Formats: sequence, structure tokens, C-alpha cells
Amino acid sequence: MDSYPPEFILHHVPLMVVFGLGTVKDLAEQTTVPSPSSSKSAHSRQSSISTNSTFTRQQISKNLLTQLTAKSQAGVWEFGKSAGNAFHVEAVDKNFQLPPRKPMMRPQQPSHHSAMNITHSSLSPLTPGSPVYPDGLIPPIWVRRHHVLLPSVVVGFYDLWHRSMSGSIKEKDESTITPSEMLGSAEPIEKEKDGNLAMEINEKRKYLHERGIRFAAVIILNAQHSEDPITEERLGYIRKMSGLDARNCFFVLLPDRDISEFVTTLQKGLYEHSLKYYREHGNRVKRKRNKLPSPATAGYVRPSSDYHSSAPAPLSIQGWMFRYDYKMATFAEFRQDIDASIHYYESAYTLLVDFFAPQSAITPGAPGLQIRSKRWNDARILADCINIKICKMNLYIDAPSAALAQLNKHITTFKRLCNTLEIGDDTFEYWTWLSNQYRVFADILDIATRSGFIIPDPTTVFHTTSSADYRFGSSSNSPMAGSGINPTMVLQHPGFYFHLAAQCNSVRRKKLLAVEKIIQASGDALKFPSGLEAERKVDHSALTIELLTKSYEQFKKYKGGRMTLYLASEIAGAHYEAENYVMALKFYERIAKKYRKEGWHTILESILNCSLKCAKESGTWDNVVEYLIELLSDRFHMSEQKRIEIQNKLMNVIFKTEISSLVNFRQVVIDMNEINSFSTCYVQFKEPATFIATPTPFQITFITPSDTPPLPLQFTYLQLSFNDSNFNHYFTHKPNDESDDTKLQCVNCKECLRKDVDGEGYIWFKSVDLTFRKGSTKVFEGLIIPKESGDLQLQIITLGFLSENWKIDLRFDVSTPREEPLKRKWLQFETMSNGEQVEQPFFINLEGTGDRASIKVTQKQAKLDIKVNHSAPALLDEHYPIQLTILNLEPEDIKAVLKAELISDLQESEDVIFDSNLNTTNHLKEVDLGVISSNESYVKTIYIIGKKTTNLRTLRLTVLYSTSSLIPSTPTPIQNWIEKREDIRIPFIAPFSVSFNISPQGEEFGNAREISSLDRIERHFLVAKITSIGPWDICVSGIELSLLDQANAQTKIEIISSSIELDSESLEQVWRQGYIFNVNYLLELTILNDASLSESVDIGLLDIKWRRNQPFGNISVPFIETTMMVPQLQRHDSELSVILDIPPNPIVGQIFTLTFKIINWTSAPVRIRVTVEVNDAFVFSGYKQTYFIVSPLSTYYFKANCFPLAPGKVKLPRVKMMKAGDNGAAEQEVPITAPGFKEPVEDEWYMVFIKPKKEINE
Amino acid sequence: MSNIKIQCIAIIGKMNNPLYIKNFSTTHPDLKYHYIAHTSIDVIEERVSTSPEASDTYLGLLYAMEDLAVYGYLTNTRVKFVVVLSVPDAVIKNSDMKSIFRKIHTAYINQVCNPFYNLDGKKSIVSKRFITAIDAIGKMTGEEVSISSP
Repeated sequence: MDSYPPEFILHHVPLMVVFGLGTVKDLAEQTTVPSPSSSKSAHSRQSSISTNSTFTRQQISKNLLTQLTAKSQAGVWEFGKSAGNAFHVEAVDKNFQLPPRKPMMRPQQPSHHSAMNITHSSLSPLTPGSPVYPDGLIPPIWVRRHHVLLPSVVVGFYDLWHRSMSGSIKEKDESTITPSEMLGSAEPIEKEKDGNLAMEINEKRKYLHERGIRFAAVIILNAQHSEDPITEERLGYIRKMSGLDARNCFFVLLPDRDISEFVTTLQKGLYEHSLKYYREHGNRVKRKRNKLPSPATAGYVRPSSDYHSSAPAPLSIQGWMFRYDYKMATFAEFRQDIDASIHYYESAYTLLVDFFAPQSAITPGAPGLQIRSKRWNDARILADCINIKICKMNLYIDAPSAALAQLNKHITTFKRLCNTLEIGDDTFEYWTWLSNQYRVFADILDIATRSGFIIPDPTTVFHTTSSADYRFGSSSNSPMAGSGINPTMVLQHPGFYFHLAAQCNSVRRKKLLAVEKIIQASGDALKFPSGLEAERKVDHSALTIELLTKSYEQFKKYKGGRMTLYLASEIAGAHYEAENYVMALKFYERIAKKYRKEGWHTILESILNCSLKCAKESGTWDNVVEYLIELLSDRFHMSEQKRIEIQNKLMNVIFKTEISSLVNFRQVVIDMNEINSFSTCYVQFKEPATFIATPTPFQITFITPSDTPPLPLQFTYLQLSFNDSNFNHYFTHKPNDESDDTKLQCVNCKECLRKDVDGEGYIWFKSVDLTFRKGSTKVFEGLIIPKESGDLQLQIITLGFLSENWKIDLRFDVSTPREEPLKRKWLQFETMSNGEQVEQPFFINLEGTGDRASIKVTQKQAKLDIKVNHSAPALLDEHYPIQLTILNLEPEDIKAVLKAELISDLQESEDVIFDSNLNTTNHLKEVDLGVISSNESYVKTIYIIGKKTTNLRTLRLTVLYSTSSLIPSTPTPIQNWIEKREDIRIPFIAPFSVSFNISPQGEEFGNAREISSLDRIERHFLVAKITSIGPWDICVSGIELSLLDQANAQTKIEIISSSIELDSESLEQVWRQGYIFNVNYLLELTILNDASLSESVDIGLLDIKWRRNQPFGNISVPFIETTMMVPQLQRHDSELSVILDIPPNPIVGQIFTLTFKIINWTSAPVRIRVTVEVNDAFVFSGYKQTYFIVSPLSTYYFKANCFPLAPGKVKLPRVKMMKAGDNGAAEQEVPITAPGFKEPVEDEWYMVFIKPKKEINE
Repeated sequence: MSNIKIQCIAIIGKMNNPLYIKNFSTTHPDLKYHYIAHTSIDVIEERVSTSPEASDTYLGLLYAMEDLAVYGYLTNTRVKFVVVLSVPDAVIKNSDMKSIFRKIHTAYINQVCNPFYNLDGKKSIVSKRFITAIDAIGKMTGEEVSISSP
């Protein structure tokens, strides 16, 4: 686009010339060097004006100019759609002159008939010396004149004179004024100054008015003016004197006015006039155009001189028509009438194109422009530029199809013309031009989209008629309803046009090369004189790459990911053509992946072939090998010859030392999963799982397609890598004696040797046939013996070439799953599993799909039986024997250890488990069972003791074993031994339940000892009731109450007597279930010092020595002791005890005495009040109410005589004893106990049975 | 109708892998149409993503490149059909294009009905019947297309 004159391409907007603000050049200078006068004025004003407007006159000018010219830096697209009130602003000097005009309007039509007698514009073809004299069309300078020189509006900026400015204003200051004069006669001076100013403005106005140009004046006021009352009057005076219209031509810029707002107002005010100006121009040209005769009727007038004479003919009528059309278009453009402009441009274009035809269609008989003449070149440029204009303007008015149609029209028209002129599509010239056209269009479109133009979606576009109407409808409701679209009419994004440009450019290069070839052949360069030298200097590839890159960026922007790949391949191709191989290779490598992934093999093949060439040229031999290997794949359709060629190339690279640049030994690893492989590799372990020490077979199958490798391909080695490097295999090639042409080849890879292979370490090694033929299936069967449990995986299979210069690994990663899983197959050869010989190898189907590259190695299932013999339920505390019978079902002898463990939920289990030798706590650790022969059993008895709780216990028995042949000597490595586990559940119950009963024993007053000391003696009777509750008979050998040591020294307890012999050892009893055994003890508690005695006293433990009555086999179980805790003795300790002695066997009519023994244990006397309630059964003698005092630490006896009246069970007279409270507290009733009698509850009282008199019996 | 000159018919699998690409032109190499078919996937994907509810699987003109116009069609199993035409500088009726695509779709359906055909496979279609059917569509003149269109 830059190659065209900018005047022809830029968009026109009305021109405004301003003066009085300095020029743009000044603007640049002022920013750096402030003039002394400005600083002075600034200083003077700062003294008088307070704050806000501190702008100097120059700063105001600068701001104004900046604002005015802000939009003037017009690009190609700018002002397009939203030109608004925009002006192109040129700042000039005050005394500027307009370009000289024609002396007067010519009254008559301009024509070549009346050529030279009237003065014309200096640019007219009629003026000698004009660039277009005598037959040119339009020179760029004509556009330039309107673009920058001839304004539609001129604006002058003036200052209003002020006294304070006298020093700084030089222009108007003609007479020297002294300060005194200034003060004295201010008004006359101002008036004179204003008069001068008005005159100056008026002159300017008149001068411009003659040219039809509107002049506007702007008076810039400063702060002093706005304060001055006469300013208004002065301004009015100047306006009147200068004859300017107040509204649109006379502006006053107040010092505090916002500059940008003012500029907008100013331009708005003048814009209308501007449009009028251009409209008038347009109309003037139109009138002239209308006066022209029709070229068809006027015909072609052959110039008087000879056609071939040196003096060219003057411009034809058609030429004038073109000129006027072009001018009208330009003026319409100036006034932003885009539709009209397009119309005139199109008209001009049609006229212009006709000039190129050998015979004009518009002016009959006229010959076309002479090819390659100056006028011809000018016209071509003009045609291109008009084309650009039309395209661009159509985009402005959102007519993308029309824009595209214009482009197509331009291209087809000139293609036709060029072909007729023999500079058509065989010449680089044409392709240069075409490339340029597309590029310019793409550029315009790119700029347009960046400025907000939206490229229509093709689905919403439809063309209604076949070809004439380029406008398209854009329908929102049914885009598909349109009858169809014309693909050539669909505007696409700029990337497509850049791509076209790039393609044209590469054709251009080819054309040049073709020309060079002809020149070389003929040695005659004269046949192609024009531009050949220049063309030779052009870097075509760089240009193509640039265009492609631009296109690439566009497609990237429009999310054409795959298109960018295509462009990248084109870029790579251009680099290749430019012999920039490294760069090309980089591009190819980047794009090959995607095509490979999506399976576009035709494209990939082309890329690989190109890459191969690049790699060879750039000497990257590693890549050469990789590409050659990939090209062997059958995915690429090629002839066998071609394939053989590729294979031979590969072999040459690897095995022949023809590459001089290859100095070092090279190691290349090629991941065959990443590229298209010539062979498919499958891995199968036959079974999904295996056991340690079991020989496990696996098969690796390589299937080659029917057409590749074309020749037998011999690898140097085959390597298998497992996740456990101990199993890695390495096979080298050993030529097979007999040529094996069968489709199915079985390679036995068993019986490998463990060997140290150079560079590979210690590895399983064998030599096998490693020749790969096309259309064959090659199965390698190997064998491994796993040693540990876990997952064993065959990860990588590597086929390799090894030569003097190369080590090439083709890696097949078999650990990743395949995309299309196949049914698992296993090749049966040599022998069947049942040992039968196989004549012909065949495949059998295995369960499942896909590869099985990994195998689970586990321990073998234990062939061991543990039998458990015991008699449940177990009783707590007993030695519970469990007999284990471990039967070895393995065919070999085994060595075994036993572990036993009691599993209990309880946190602190006191359970014990032991065998005959050891006595350990709750588990047995690795009890060596020794060697157990095949089918022999080993019997082992262990004992458990369950304590305290009666829940269910789980006994976990674990036997670990290994065949004794595999075990090295001690210590026994337990890992990887075969394990057999057995859990048994044993219920535990208690053997017996014991209940205790303790009751206090009464004293017999009769043989009561005298209290000789402060000791207090109590007797208690303990009954232990033992019930045998277990299902088993129990043999009890002894029961013993062992008294506990007392917690304090104040009490002492003794067994007075017992129901069983204390020192007897011979209590041998057998208790059956439900048997109850009572043991009685009379205990005497002596309280040594009564002072502080706790209420409960420990008694002791009851031990029962027992065992199960039935012997367990021949095992004798020892007696064990079960110990029960006797509950504590609860004492009711008191300060005062009252004991009632009821005489035995009272008889009716016989008096008896109730004796109350009252013991005061305290050291204070106690007063007791007694109340006796008499009832019907007795006659009572004595006080019914009395009291007595019991001395400290002494005993008092209170007696009551009763005379029974009736026999039977009667209640004794109720005696209530009330103890007086201390310090006047309420009385307390004293409890009365009668040993041997049931204690009364609440209101009850002791009951006695009164015998009847003897005489009844008699 | 007679202005339609089919240059290439491409069938692209749902994984964007080429299933069958037939070049009917004499001027351009196969490679070019492979590239065109591949790049048209972008446009198809974009079209589908911008209007996912479109009931019509006919996607219209995908793009025009040089003298070729590329049309697209998407089946409900995400198989893409691409037809490349040489540009006649005339309106191409959507109904004509739809009819062509419908024929291709029919051919493809017949192919898929073969129980031995692996639908998810990445291999090219090699069925002779299918190839014959596509050839017939490609070589059809305008008249034939309009007569046989339902």
C-alpha cells in the first residue's frame, strides 16, 4: 500500500487552514525552547491574576494547535465511518498565500479543440509545463492541492491589544508609545489598534471570499480583558468593521474557556460551510462534465500529427470525462458523501479501464494507452488506487460484498487486459501486481476490522440473484432460507487475502526462475528488459514468509488452529525454497505432531519427505534416521520401489560410512509410540497372575504389514526392559540357517544365559533370529521365574541397530494401553500344556483384551491344613489345652513356624497363651515346628488361659512355611514364605458363681466377758454359697478363706470357726453343673481403738482350687486357683448401742424379763428417756415412762418384766429410747438391736412366740 | 446447478481423522485437498460451537480459498463431510449442496450398516461399494443431482 502515492489513497476530509498560532514546526520547537517574551508576559500576568488561568499566549496557541491538529495525522482508514465534524488542519504563517488560481472561470467548455487560447490551471493538461500536459489524467499533486493547500475554511487567531501587552506585541506596534502616553490617552490608542486589527481581518476576509473560502476570526482575550468593561464594546466594533458574521465567523476565546470544547464548537460552526464549499466545487465540475459531448458520438479524432510522431495527442474527451468524474468523486469524498463518491469513482474506474484496452469501447476507434509508457504507468497506479478507494469506501458503508466484488472486478479486468497485452499470468510482473492487490486488500480489511468493522458470518449471507446484484441480504430469522451464496462474493477475514498474496508471490518467484532458465538457455536477456534487474534483487522468500506470517497471525486471531498449521507448512516450504533448512525443519517438526495425532498421513508423508530433505541438507542426521524409519510405515501409501529406496537410504545412513560430517558415535532413541511404526508390537503374559518360583512364559509379537519393510530388515539386538532389572533380556541376532519365509515365525527365547553384556550389565542373554520381513508375524516367547511378590511389568521393548557410527534404539513402550484393544492371543507352539507336540503353531484366544505387559506375582496358595482340637467352652482361669494338627499337603517337605495370637477387644487383656516350653504373654512368636514331611502332620498343643471376662476370644493361628529345599540355612527368612492362617473362636465362661452373706452375730449375755479394756469385739457370720455353673464337672481340691491384712492397725479379724476343716488338705470333691456348696465362717472382729473406724472392713479372699474333672487326652492339667473377693464387712458404728436380750421360750402366765443393755461408747454421759407402750398380749410392770443416765464408757441395764397373757405370735411391748440431744437439740431415737431376731422395720417391733401353758397338753 | 463442479469429497471421523478423501480434480494434487479438509475442521468446529442448537447439520459455505469453495456438513455422530467445489462465480444454491450432502450421508450410512465396519476405528474406509458411491456423487453432473434429489 505504501508504494502508491498517499494522496490517492488517504481519505479526504475538509481542509482547514489556521494562522496566528504558529505552524506545526513551531509547535515542536516551542515545547523545548520557551521564548523570552512568553516568560515575560507570563510573569506580568501572574502578578495580576490569581490562580486558574496562568496560560501564556504561547501556551494557549500550542494547546489550540494541538487540539486542532489532533485528528489530522490521518491514516488510510481514519475518518472513515465517523468523520463527524473532523477537519484536516494545516497551520500556516499569517501571510500565507493561496496557490495561484486560474485568472477567471472559463465560460466555455474545456476541450482540446479550443486548447491553448485560454489560461488554465497550472495542473491542467492544457497548460504546458503541467505534469499532465498534454494528455495525462490526474496527477497526485492535484489531489494534494485540495488535500493540504486549498482550504475550505481559514481561521485566523488574533489578540486584542491591551496596554500591558505593548511590550510583547511587535506586529501591531508601529508607533512607539511611552508609558505616560499610554496612561493619558488610553482610549484613542486602543481604538486605533482595534481599527488596524479590524482592517487586517477585513482584508483577509475579502481575499478569501474571492476564492469562495470562508474566513473566521478568533480573538483571544486574556484575563485583563475580561475584567475590562470596554472589552465588549471593542469586540463589537472590530466585528462590525471587519464585516464578519457574528454567528459562525467571529469567535472570542475567553481565557478560562476549555480549549477542546472551543475547538469542537469552532469546527462544528464551520463544518457546514466546508461542505457547501466542496459541494459547489463538485457542482462546478459536474456542469463542466455535462457540457462534454458524448465520446461515442464525437468519436475518436486522430491528432493531426502522425500517430507515431513524438508529440502525443492531447487528452481525449474520455480523458476529460475521467478527470471530471474523478474530481467529483474527490469532492464528494471531501464532503463525506460516501455513496456519491463510490458512484463517481466507479464511473471514473470504468472510463479508466477502457484506456488499457487495445481498442477503446467508449470512444470508438481510439487506441489504448501505449504499454509501459509513462501515461500507462500513471494510469495503472491510478486504477489501483481507485480500486483501493472503492473497496475501502464500501467497507465504510458496511457493504463487504461490494468491496470484494470490486476487488474481483479489478483483478479479473486486469488479468484479461494483461493477457491481451502479453504481460499476463506468465510474467512475474503480473504476479507481483496481483500479490500486491491482495495484500493491499488484506491490509485494508485488517485495518477495518481493527477499527470495528465486522466480517459477516457466511451462514448469514445469501445472494438472491445469480450475479448482477452484489449486495447481500442479512437476514436474522432464516439464514438458511436464502437460495444460496456465491462463494466468490463472501468476504472473509484478512488472513485469506494475505495467503493469496503470499501464493501469488511464490508464483512470481517461479516465473522469475522460469525467465532465468530461458535466459540461461538462450543467453539473451534483452527479451525481458523491464524490471528484470530489479526483480532479481527482490527477496521473494522473505516476502512470502512475511505474507504467510501475516496470514498466520490473522488465522490465529480467528481461531483457525489447523489453518495455522497449514500456513506453518507453507512457511516451512518458503524457508526450504530459501535454503533456510534449519528454520524449515523447525516449522515442520512443530506441525507434524498434530497431523500424526489426527491421522492425516498424506499430509504427514509430505511433511516427512520435506523434513527429510531439510534434515539432510542441514546435516541433522539423527532426524534423517527418524524420518526414514517413520516413512517405512505402511500408513503412507507409496510404491514398493519408493519404499525400497527409503529402506536402502536408511541402511546406507546406518551402516555405510558415507557421511563425512558424522564424526562422533551417535546414539539415537526413537519412541515408536510417537511415530507411525512399520511394525506393531504386542505383549502377552499368558496368565494374569503367577506365583513366586513358578516359570512364567510371555510372548512378544511383532506384526509387520503386507508391504513393509520391503526388504528383510535385520536388527542388531532386541532388548526387553522390566520394571525389575533382574529380568531384563538382551537378544542378539543370529542368522537363521534355513531361510524362513513363513508368515508366522516363532522364536524361542527361553533358556537364556545370565551374562554380562558389554554396556548392558548383567542380563539374560541369547542369540536369536532378528530378521523382520513384510507381512509376517514374529513371536518371541520367553520365560521368567519371579522371585518376589508384586507386580512385574515388561515396560519397554527396544529393537536396535548397532553400527560403527550409530546406536539406534527403536523403543516400543508397551506399558501404556493401546487405543484399540484386540482380543488377547497366545501362540501355541512346540508343546501344548499337556505335553503334546504341536506340529503347526497356532493361536489360541485368551481371556480379555489388550496387552498384558504386567503380571501379578503372588505367593502360592498354601497347601497346608491346620486342624484344631479343643473342648469348648473354656472356663475362666483354667489351663485350656488346644491341640493343633498341622498337615503338610505339599508334595515336598516343608519347614514351618507357628505364630499364635489371642485377639481381644479389651485393652488390657490378661489372657495368656503358651505352649509346653515357653510361657509368653498373649501371643506366641514363631515357634519353630521344624521340618514336616510331605503328607505328614505335626501335632502341637498350646494352652490358653482366659482371665476375668467371659467373652469370646479369637485365637489366630498362622503357619508360615516354605519348601525345605528352597530354604537356606538359618536364620530363617520369613519373608515370602507361604502363609496359612486359621482363626478359631473360643467362648469362655465362668466355672462357678459365688454369693456371700455376712450377718452380725448376737452376744450371749450369759457368758459375756467383762469389758476389761476399751476393745470392742463383734462377731459376724459369713456364708459363701458356691454354685458350679459350667457344663463341665469340676474337681475341687480345696477352698480356703485367706484373711487380708487389715488396712489399719485398729482392727483385727480372726476366723473363730469354719464349716470345713481349716487345715484339711483332702477336700476332693467333684461338682456337677448346678451343684451348690456352702462354706460358713464365724469371724470375730476386734476393734482395738474405737476412735476412728471406717464403716467397711476388709475380710479376705476365697480361694478355690480346682480343675476340670475329665482329662484332655493324655494331658494332665494342673489344679488352678480361682480367687474370689469376699465383700467388705459393713458396720453400723454408733456412739450408743442398745442390745435387747429376749429370753427364749416364754410361756403364757410365766413372767419374763426383757433386758436392754445400753453401752455408752462415748466419754460423755448420755441421758436416755424411755417410753413403754403396752399391748394386749402382755401385762407390763414398771414405769411406763422413765429416764436414766448412762455414764461414759459404761454399760447400763434396763429391765422390763412382762407377763404374757395369750399364746401365739405376738408383738413385744414397744420400748422407745430417746437420747437427749446435745445442747438442747431435739431428741433422737436410739435403735435397738436384738441379736438372733429379725430387725423390725419402721413401726414394726420384735415378735415372739408365746407358748401355751403346759396344762393344755395334759 | 450445472455450475457445481465437485473437486473433492472428504469424510472426516469424529476424532478428526480422515476416513476417506477423494480428489476429483485434475489440476490439484491430493495433498492440497487433504490440507483443505483438515483446515475445514476448524471452521466446522467453530460453526458448531457458536450455534450448538442448530438442528440442521448442513453448515453451508465454510470458506473460499483461491478458486475453491469449501462446504461442510456434520452428522449427528460428529462425522464431518466436506465438499470442495471449484468456484463458478455464480450463486450456488443451498438446496443443491444439501442434496449432495444427503447423498454422501446415505452412502456413509450404508457403510456404517456393515456390521464388520469398525465405527470407532481410525482406518480409512476401503469398502468398494462406498468408494463407488462417492465416485458417483463426485462425477455427477448438475442434472443428475437435481433429478435424483428427493
